[in-house]
Amino acid sequence: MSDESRQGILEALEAALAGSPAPAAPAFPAPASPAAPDWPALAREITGNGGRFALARSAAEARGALASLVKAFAVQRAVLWDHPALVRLGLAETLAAAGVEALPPDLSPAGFLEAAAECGLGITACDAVILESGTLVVVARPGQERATSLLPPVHLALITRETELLPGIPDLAPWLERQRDARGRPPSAIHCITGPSSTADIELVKVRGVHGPTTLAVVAVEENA
Amino acid sequence: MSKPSGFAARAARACADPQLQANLRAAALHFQGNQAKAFAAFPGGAAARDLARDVKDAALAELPSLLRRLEAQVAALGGTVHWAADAAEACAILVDIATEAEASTAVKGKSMVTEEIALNPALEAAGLEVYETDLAEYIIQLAGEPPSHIIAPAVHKNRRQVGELFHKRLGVEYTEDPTELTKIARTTLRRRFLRADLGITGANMVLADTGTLVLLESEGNIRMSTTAPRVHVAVVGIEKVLPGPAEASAVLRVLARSAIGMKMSTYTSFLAGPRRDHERDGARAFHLVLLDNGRSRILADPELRQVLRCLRCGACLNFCPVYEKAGGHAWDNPYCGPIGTCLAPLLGQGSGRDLPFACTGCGACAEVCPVRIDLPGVIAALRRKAAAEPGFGDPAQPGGPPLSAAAAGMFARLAGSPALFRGAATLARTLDPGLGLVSRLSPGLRAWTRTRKPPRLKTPFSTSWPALARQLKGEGGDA
Repeated sequence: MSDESRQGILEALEAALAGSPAPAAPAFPAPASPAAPDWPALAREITGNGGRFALARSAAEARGALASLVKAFAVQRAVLWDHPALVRLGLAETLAAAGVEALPPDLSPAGFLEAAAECGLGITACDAVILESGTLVVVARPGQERATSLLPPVHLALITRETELLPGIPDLAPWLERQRDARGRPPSAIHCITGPSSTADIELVKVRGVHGPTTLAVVAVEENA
Repeated sequence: MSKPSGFAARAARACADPQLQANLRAAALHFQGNQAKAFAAFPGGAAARDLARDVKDAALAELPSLLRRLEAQVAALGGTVHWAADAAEACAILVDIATEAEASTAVKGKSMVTEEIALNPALEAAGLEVYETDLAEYIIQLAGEPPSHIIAPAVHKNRRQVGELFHKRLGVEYTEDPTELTKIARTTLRRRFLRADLGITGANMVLADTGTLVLLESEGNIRMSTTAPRVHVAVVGIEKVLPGPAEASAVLRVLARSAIGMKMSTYTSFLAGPRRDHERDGARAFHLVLLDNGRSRILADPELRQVLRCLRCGACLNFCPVYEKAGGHAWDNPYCGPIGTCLAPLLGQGSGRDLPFACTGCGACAEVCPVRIDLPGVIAALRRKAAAEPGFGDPAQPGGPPLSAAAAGMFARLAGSPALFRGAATLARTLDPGLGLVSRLSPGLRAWTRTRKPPRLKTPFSTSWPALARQLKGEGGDA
């Protein structure tokens, strides 16, 4: 059934296009030059989207930001990415010191989502940030799950020296091209996050925290300062 | 082409519902304000729209080769591509996928195309439990109603109606606080997500070069539907395919601004095939259903082809004066507003031949369209096509053109002779300035004025202009 339809659709499309003049080729804008971090401007975008922003001038300040987040939201369990920046900053140690139970990194896939749904906090790094829109870009990989930035009510996203700063939305395109692996495959999932989960479906009243996090906290870490 | 749909009667009912009128007015102000603010703060907005238009036109011109490339790439990622000529075939494919996966429950991310193919009844008939998970879609599923707006499907309901619905259908204590109501939906649906076998979504774009879906949303229902269930099925119209990330970001630049007034939607997800080895979440199996359902017919008509550029942002609805009065249900189609007027008669079996005649031709929709679809031009073309059909203008057919042939002929005679027109207008102005008498006497005009307000015939502009011009120049005047 589907094979017949496949052929029928492709033939209909070819017939439909036969003799049509070629449309104008899209004129894409020239790529912007790499941006220097303008933290106040990024903070305005992120808070404008309903997120929180803090600048940490050292690893210790980043740990302090995590500790105060844990306290403010009375976090008891957390799920965090297995990521070099999180290890370098010593965030797991901060959680342990605050008495927060972190999901074991070797948890089986079968129980992972249910366990992540019980966590009060999810911690990820950012693979990239779009400065124009205050958008955080996270890539799914083994140990860096999709659910970490989705299921817990609070998402802490860290901008670190691994994070690429993209000036505008058009600059996402070459960045996406660079994410392809040796076989040309893109990652299985890339999520661009612009503010906490929200809706305006009841009388257009903005409500935060529908299916995703109610709170999005961004900490930019200047590790070398 | 298609049958008339009774738009006028449904619009009249909507106009007589004060609560609905208030909801529609509030929604129009909200969405218009957001869109206007977003583009006012977007200096490159005009060029960005031109680019989005060119990107869509270029992709449509190479649709067959893009679809072949997409198919190969999805297969290389371990996904399966299905082709559906029409709605019935698409539904049958989904039922087969569900049966083969031994699925008993499905969660759906917000999608227009699954409304277009009426997927839910088909899946339910096959014994599946289907849950809409976008808050508005969930509300109208509980209420047993169709959507009334492309991006805000429950915009016709107010908080009291939602509160009563949740109280009645979910057994929760009555509340009309939107935050509390949202929490109730979050808790109820969280369980559904984690237990569902099948996640069903549409897609805003599909990228041929890498077999990637691009999905936009605010709530996270689409992320949940593609993260938790073991099987993900995306149903996508064939016109949604683009080459790659450059084209996608050109569309992203205008899409969220037009839909909700944000630079980017809360979540924009790029999904490529099932989860990879050692990943702990995401669907284990991925199916892509490519749907024609009339789209190849639209492509074949040079007058109509541009309709396929549509990104489903909903901006044309938000600025349409007819939508603001009639509401989305008057279209009796998942696609409403100006774009619904174009799509309803062309997709599937075609319905709503009368819809193009409800357009005032004001052109506001074309002004705000992010891909510059000439909606009034397409609607005029659809009127001409409808008028050329046998049986057109037959008063026995409900929802035909509002002007009888006799009235139209009379108007043509008047309009063809300036002297005669001026005479008739002067006479009417003197005797019947509200055209009340004329509309009672002329059946054609009566039909016309049922859904439209006739102009008040006062002093013509040509007569009052000299005085007005003096006034504008600050010389005073007596007009």
